[in-house]
Amino acid sequence: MKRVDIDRRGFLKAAGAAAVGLPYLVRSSALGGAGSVAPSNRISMGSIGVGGMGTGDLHGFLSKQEVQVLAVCDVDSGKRESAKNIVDKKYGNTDCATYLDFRELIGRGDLDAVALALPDHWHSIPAIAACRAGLDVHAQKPFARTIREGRAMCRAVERYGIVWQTGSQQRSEGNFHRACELVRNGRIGKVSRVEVGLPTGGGSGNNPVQPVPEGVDWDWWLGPAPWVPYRGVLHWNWRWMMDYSGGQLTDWAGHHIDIAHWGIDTERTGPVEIEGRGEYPKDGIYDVPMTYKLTCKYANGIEMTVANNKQIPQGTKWYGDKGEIYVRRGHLESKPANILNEVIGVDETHLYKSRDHKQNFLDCIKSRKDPIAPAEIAHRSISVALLGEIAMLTEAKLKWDPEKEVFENNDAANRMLGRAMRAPWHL
Amino acid sequence: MEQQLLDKVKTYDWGQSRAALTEITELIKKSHGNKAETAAIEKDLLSVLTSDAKRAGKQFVCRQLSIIGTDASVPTLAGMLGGEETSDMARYALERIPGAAADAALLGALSKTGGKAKVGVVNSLGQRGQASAGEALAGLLGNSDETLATAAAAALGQIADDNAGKALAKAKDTTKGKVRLRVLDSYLLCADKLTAAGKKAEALEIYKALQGKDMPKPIRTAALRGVLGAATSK
Repeated sequence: MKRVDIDRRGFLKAAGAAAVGLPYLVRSSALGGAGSVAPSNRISMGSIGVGGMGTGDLHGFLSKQEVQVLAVCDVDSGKRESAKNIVDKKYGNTDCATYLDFRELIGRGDLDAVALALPDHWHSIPAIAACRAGLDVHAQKPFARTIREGRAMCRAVERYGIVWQTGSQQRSEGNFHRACELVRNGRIGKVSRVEVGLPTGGGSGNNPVQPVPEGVDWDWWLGPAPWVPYRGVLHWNWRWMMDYSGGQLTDWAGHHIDIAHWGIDTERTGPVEIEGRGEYPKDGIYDVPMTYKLTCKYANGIEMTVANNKQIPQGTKWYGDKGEIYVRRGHLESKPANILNEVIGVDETHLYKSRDHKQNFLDCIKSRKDPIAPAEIAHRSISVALLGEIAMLTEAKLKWDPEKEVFENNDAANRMLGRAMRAPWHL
Repeated sequence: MEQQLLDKVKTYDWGQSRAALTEITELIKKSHGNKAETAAIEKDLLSVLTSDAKRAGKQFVCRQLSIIGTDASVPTLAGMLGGEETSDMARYALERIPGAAADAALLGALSKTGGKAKVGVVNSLGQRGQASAGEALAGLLGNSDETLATAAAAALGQIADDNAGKALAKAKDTTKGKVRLRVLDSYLLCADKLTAAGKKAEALEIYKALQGKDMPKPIRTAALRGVLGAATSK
């Protein structure tokens, strides 16, 4: 899809599709018709971060007829070339461009959108850069590594009218949607508490300093994180180190905490009180909590407990005064069982429905509507985990103002809301 | 803190056991709320920074000082801002330490640092929203080092007060390329802040200035959204 000028696409972004006649403002080719879509009329995309998750997303977008992937970017040349080969094979040419520097990909000038799948410490900077360039964004969860970064991302999305989809794909799965709709419509009565179970972490040895693998640019990989020498942790396992991630807690917050919020209608706010305890490895290169348990209270009186799956079964469980609903991947159950047979009436709350997460993103690029997992909602999901991380590190009962996004009773905790970035990086 | 524990930090290097470091983080956790205890720990940790401890040990100390550091830490950390290996770790702590002493140390470092270290200092001043740095940052907008000029523009956007707005308004007509893009983005932030403060007329003036045909499309889009936002804000 060639970029339309400000009078069309720009105004559509500015005003929102609901306020104007959509077909009038979007060229018909962008809407996609029957049969195949000519490359010049497709949504042109670039992929930044093409490791495990990024390659999965790349395959997902390549399977969509209305997408044309033009470029890939990674700091590991092996991953980069592998992704290029996938794209070139799909299109039968050698056109896919490769980049080490995401800024060059974003600055190409011929893209409509980017797919981001990077370690958490790299989530905010490329995302905001993409927003500034007016590119729509599909980004893997968790939304951000710190609360401050997350808020800056939300503001950039809002400022530039970006269509943002977070990779919280459980929202596009039927059982999760059904569970949340039943809870929202009072089928278990008044909800008093929610339990969220997430995976359990593990420890490691003290890896020695070692040569950086060939083809990997370590300085780029570290980016805004503090400088450390390479010690054998690169793809995937970065998520067990606090400089880059918060472990299983933050890795999965964008799934089951996100679903918990959806059910209790706290998607655009946060808890007012949080406390927690975690068991951290006392030695070894990994330093995120192996086990953890957090308790949050919301302004509406609901209490949410989040713990690793050795303490709470993985998934989300809501407790109401008339029953319970438990949902996890591939499973939905209720007490009493007949709740699941309930029909949601036409005048009741019908939650946003998507059955294909990536298609929902692409559809929203055309309609300029919010996708099912927009920035603000993703920010609020990961915020619970990030607040929990701070509560565990301070071992304090923290009072949180979800509007101002500051702690009301702990200066040390407020310091942890953001981190200095290694030069030259900044938001 | 036991001298033996401190000595282990001084000799710590990446790849070795970090059990001693964990002991110290536990001590710090337990000291939260006890000013005398944290002050004693802070003093002990500062002794590592002035020793011949390895980079790994000093970095660990800076991480801890980012949580418990006070004005007492500022002189030592300020002395590290110009060092190639120590600048980032010093900012990691200083950026989080509240108060005028840290403000002054960062502002003072602007004229004493160069290269990446200077860019880092500019970033920290912006992250702290340090209005007193506005004039110095404005002076960097025309710097021939694009990275530094861009960082200064970003920092002014974080500050986003009247003076920052004036500097950015001027720079939008004098800067080019990547620097100008960042100047325009920061100028938008100034307008957004004015809208949030209820100063709609001033905000609309900025949004209008950013809707010219010479403006990049994303900026024009954002400016138009700003106008709509200002119109509907309370």
